[in-house]
Amino acid sequence: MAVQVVQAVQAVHLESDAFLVCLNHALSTEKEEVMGLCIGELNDDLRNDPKFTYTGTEMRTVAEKVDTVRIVHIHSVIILRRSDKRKDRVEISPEQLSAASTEAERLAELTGRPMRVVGWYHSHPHITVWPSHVVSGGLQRDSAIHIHVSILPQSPLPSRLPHDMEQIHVLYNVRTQAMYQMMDQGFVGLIFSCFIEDKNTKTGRVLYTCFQSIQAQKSSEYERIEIPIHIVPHVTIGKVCLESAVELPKILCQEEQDAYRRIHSLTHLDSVTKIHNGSVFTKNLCSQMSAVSGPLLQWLEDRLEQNQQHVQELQQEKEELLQELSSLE
Amino acid sequence: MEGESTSAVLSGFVLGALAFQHLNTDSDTEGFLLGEVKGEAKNSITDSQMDDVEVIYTIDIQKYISCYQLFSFYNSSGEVNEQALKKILSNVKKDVVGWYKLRRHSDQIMTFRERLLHRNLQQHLSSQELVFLLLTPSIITESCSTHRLEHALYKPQKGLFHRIPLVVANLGMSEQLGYKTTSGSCTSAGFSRAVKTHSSEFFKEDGSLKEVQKINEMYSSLQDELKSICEKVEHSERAVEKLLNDVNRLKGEIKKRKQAQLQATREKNVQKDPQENILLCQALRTFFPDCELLHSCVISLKNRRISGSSCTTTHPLSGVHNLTLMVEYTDFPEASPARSALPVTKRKASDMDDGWQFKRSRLGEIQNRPSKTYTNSSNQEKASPVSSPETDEEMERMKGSGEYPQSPTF
Repeated sequence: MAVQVVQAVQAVHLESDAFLVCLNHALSTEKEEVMGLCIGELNDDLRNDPKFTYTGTEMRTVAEKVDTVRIVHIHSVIILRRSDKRKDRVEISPEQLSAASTEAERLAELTGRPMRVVGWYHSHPHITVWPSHVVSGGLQRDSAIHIHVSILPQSPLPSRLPHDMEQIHVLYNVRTQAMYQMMDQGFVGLIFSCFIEDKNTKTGRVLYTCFQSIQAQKSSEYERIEIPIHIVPHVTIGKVCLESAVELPKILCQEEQDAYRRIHSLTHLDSVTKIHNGSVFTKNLCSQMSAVSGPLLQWLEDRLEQNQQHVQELQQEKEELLQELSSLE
Repeated sequence: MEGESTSAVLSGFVLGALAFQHLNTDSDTEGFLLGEVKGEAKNSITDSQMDDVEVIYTIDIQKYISCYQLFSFYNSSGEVNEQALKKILSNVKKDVVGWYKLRRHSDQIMTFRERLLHRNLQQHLSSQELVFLLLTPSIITESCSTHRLEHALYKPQKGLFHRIPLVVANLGMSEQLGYKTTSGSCTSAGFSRAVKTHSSEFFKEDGSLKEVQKINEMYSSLQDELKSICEKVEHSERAVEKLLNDVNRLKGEIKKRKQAQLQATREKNVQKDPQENILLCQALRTFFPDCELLHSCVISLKNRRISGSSCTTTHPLSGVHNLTLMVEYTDFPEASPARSALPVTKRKASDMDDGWQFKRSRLGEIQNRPSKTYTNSSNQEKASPVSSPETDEEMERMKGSGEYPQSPTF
């Protein structure tokens, strides 16, 4: 059977603690998109778990289809700063990629596993992961594109971007993903859609999806392909994920400091304006402390308390089990 | 008119932690929500209402306690196991504001058991404001590429369960440009510790902010500067005002005097250079072309003799005046043949006849009077009133006697 398209990845397995860091990051602000990089490995896993679905296998050769599936395992994530804060411009700089690769090497040494940068994630505040309709026609200047998306059972809720802007956003995401795949075929993209609220039904939603890009057969443009994503349970939070989680306030503070430094370096500003800017900086840091640092601290303290209690319970259970075991000998 | 509204808020970390806990279990998960309820009365005055008070309640969900197993504090009928409940909530330092459940692949609707359990919990916890957070995770694409977590908060009102708004607090929430009236809900010990360590750098002993005092002092200095310059400007304004008044007054006086002078000059000029009565001149020429006496002087509009010599100027007259001067020769036997071509109306001619008779008699009197030489000096004007008054007096007499000849009408 001729293979028209070889899909590099059949599924993504995302560790739950890495998922937690992504979700926390996405939920940290509804004002702008956030992004980060996924660290993990690409393996050819045996097809041994029936509950995990895979995709694209029909495209592979018979020999390839039988025993193995290409799985991307995401073990941790790195929160990134956005250099370009323009709306819908979520791009990773070469410096960031290089730093992430260095971090991946460090993790590889730590875990003894071949870790590398395997994907990226970003958030969609107030907009769904993909618009629920088929779009065709010339959206860009030069060529017509065709984007096929899944039809979501319930239509997206209000508070979303205008139709054409969403399409441009979709196109941008797909093209960006395609660009990364040029470096690494197994590179995957995750999107976390949050702060979607229906004021009529008073319900909120969080969605997450996984995708890659492939070149359309009839044009030079790219199409999105869905990649199954499964969350791998991880009852405890790994060290790397914990460290990533607490990086968030630090990164936010650095962004604010850089912004203030740029403003403060303007020599033409008078003293009153400088005092004003200083107050703005203070105000913004206070907002970060109230909205991010404080709640993060609180969650970690609660987690510590829960773990301490859980330790006690588990200790007791362990003793009981030891006693039971010894009674059986 | 009073109203109240209720909403809830929780941080993204709490929501994320709930989702994390659920992902690590194979079954549904449930537990309790801890936090506090804050009420804020907002007073608004509108055109229709003088005093409109609205009480806004915010349920602040700050943490949760998870139950590791389902049915750990209740049975299948929704009845509460009080012992188990006490054990779960024994170490709770905060108030219980509600409970939660994560139900896989189900609708966002409370089940009957959940409604019963909620009412029972309300009784056992003595909290009528208890809320229920329902989270329903699901896979929404066949390929399992897209997952969804839906959430809603329920609260019974008048026997029915209603959803109330649940806000996920985050950094990008609509920034308050004004003053905040509620403080953050963070009760983290580490947070309080860090803040307290640096409090003295921000606050004075009396609790006031150092930065606020500094800016107030600077502002006060600015106000002093404003006051000082204001006084100086005020003085200068008064000076300008006084001078403007003086100048305007002087200008007014000068204007008045100039106008008076101008008027006097005009009067003099009028007397100096009186304007010739052109119509009279032309009329005399027309009707008395041969009477040299009538042409012997030039008369002004004010009936003053301007010149003692005859007028030699040809006066161009308008069409109306030409028509006025057009009379028939036959009506005026004394008129020259040259004038006979002019048409004339009978009525006016008859009037004219009497008038001209009188004129002839007057002309005779004039001819008998000694003539006087007139110069162009101002005496002429003085002199002319000497003769003129006679003429004028006679004219006046004639007016009174009704014999004043009417101006020739044609």
